[in-house]
Amino acid sequence: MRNIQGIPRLALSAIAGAAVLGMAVTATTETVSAQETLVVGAIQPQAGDCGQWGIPITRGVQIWADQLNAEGGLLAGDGKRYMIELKAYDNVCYIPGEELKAGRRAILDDGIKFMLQTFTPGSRQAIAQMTTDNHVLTTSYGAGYLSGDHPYLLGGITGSPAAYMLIASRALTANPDVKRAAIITADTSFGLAAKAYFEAGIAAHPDQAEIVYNESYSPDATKDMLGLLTPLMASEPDMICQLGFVPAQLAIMIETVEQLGFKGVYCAEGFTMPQILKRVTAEALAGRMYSGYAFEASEPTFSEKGHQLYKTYVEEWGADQWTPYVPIGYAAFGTIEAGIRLSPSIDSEVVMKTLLGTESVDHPIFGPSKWGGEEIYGANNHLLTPLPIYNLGADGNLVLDHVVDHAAWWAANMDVALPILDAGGQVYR
Amino acid sequence: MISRSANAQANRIFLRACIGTAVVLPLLVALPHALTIYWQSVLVLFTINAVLLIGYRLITTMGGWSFAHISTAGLGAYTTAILTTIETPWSFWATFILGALIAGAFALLISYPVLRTRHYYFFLSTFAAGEALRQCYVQFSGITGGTYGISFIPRPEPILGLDFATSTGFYYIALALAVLVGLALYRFDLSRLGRTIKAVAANEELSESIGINTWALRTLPFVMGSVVAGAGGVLYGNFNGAINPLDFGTVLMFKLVAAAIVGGVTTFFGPLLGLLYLTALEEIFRDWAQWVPLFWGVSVVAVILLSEGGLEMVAIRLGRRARRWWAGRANRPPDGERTGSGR
Repeated sequence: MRNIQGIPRLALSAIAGAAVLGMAVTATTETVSAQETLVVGAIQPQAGDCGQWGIPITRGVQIWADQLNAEGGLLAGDGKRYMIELKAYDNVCYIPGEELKAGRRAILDDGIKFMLQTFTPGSRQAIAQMTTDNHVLTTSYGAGYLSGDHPYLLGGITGSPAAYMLIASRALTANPDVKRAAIITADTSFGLAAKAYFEAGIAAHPDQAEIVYNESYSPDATKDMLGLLTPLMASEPDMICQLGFVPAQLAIMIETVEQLGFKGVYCAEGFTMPQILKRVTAEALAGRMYSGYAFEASEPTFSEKGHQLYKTYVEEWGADQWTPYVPIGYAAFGTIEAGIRLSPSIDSEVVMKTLLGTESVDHPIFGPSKWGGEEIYGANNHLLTPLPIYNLGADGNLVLDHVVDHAAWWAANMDVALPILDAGGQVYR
Repeated sequence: MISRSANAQANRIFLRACIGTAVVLPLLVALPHALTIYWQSVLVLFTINAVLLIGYRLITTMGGWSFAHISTAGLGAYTTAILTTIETPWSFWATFILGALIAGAFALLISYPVLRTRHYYFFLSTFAAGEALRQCYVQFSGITGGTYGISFIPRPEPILGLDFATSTGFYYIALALAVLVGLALYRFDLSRLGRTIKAVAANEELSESIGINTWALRTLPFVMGSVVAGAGGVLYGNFNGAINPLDFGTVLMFKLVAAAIVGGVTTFFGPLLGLLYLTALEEIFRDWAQWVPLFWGVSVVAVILLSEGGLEMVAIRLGRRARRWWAGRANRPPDGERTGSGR
């Protein structure tokens, strides 16, 4: 058949191609550029399963920019106000090669000088040299990988993976009856980092708990949750620490282990409660879910400014769309915001030197916080912000359980934790 | 006699291709100097992907669409990454050759089981072999860095005063490889052996019945294509400076397969047209990343429905029309004469 409804196939091909390219040309003409505008970048997954993380994170950064713009722009240390424009870049699913591709677009093509990226160590390493060569101050919701050779990479907040250590430790402190811990993480770069940090947090309680299950899974295996979790449940844990399930999978995971009779506590970087509560009741889970990443903006007492983020998000996207990932990019950019406010110039090199030269950074959410990380990364480029840890209330809302002083915890437990992090490949000195 | 005539014709076609390449080459050499540093990096990756695709097309000539090509390329990438970052690092150039050979050896190793299969079974078995290899990159973490991968891979050391640390310098390595491999495989494609391989693919039973060693003729392009994949993988890992098992997963593999489908594999330039089209889509829609897979999917379906044989067939038909139009114009009588004849 040469023709479709009388139109030659060759012509149809040409029309289809022209339409696609035409749309593209129209789209590319929308680029905005204005004086006194600071363009910042966020490299996150923008589609697929990992978009369940990346899209809310990007939206959180957009709200950060919108809030500053509503104030007339970010008041920098040079006395000028700068409107913030956000450009998002896709790293597919924290794939290092894709991170590099996105980094090239952001840095080499769009000239971005302030950027957010994942804490995933492999991805941070992939663009480390490019950020250094091009003086791109790159924050993250945690450290993951830092180095004295790459001073433009910052750990913007305590965040991941350090939070996993602090959450596991807090859950054990709060539940002295917990004796058997299970760790289940994805076999990705970020999953294996989490595994080591969970181990370190549990090791800080040597007389209380032992690790009875400690396995990694391929993300492809999450389609068969029962098969994945049956061996874990066979180890009879009374605490499950997990990282790697995207929010929808985590809800299924919790439902599955509840059905298999689990009555212990959960540790995770965050729980997307709207999804979980569709499967398990709040009464059944109350008091058993420990989480902490940046801060939980739906909880009003920790930070009034932060809670405004929640209100804005819910207004725009609805309460059902809320996830604990929204605040993490918002908080990580808060560190750059603090640096720009302090710095006599918005030149990224000056901002970097000002930030790292400041003993105590006044973070807009966490308040005064000090730099650390020397023992793990060989450079004090990780801002050790306090970590609020949350638990689930009987009404289905997350409530503030405890605020961990990261620096104090590390000082008290470093001798135990550091060798475990080293064995897990997390020490980069 | 027929064979000699066919060979002479192949030589003529190949000579034309060499002349064409010689004409275009100065433009390709000059191209990076007209581009920004970002587009230089896009050009380098495009050229490396073109190398991978040229190797992939060779494999398709034996009648099977492998899904292990990118995992095999990973062997080259890991070879250079491991050996150039050890305490006593190897020269990049040595790892370049070794990486290609290791990829070829792997293909030879798996050829026995996977080449026993045909059609979608071949596709599935190569997918399984590729995934098994990718899992090796994850599991043998003492050597490969596991899921963390290997970072800070050094760029090739200079030779003859040429610096490969820049994107432009690296592009010349990729371009040289693409041109050499392209011409070599084009000549192979035109040769009696290349044509026999395609004949075997068209009818294996008939070929076997007349005494052709079909097994060897399926293995040869599979191994040769994998050697090219290994060489491309070395360049990919070295240019990026960091590799990870996820880099050699389905994302890049699908891109190659899609390029081959969209562009077509009958001619040599078809897959490259497909790659050009998909790369353009990716770059143009980069601010709408969530839509790119949709456009890829639509492109594949559109090509299948609207233009059997891919963009290469569209290009060929357009070329024929242009030639007919040109010929018609040249043969057209002068205006006055034409008016007269019209009466």
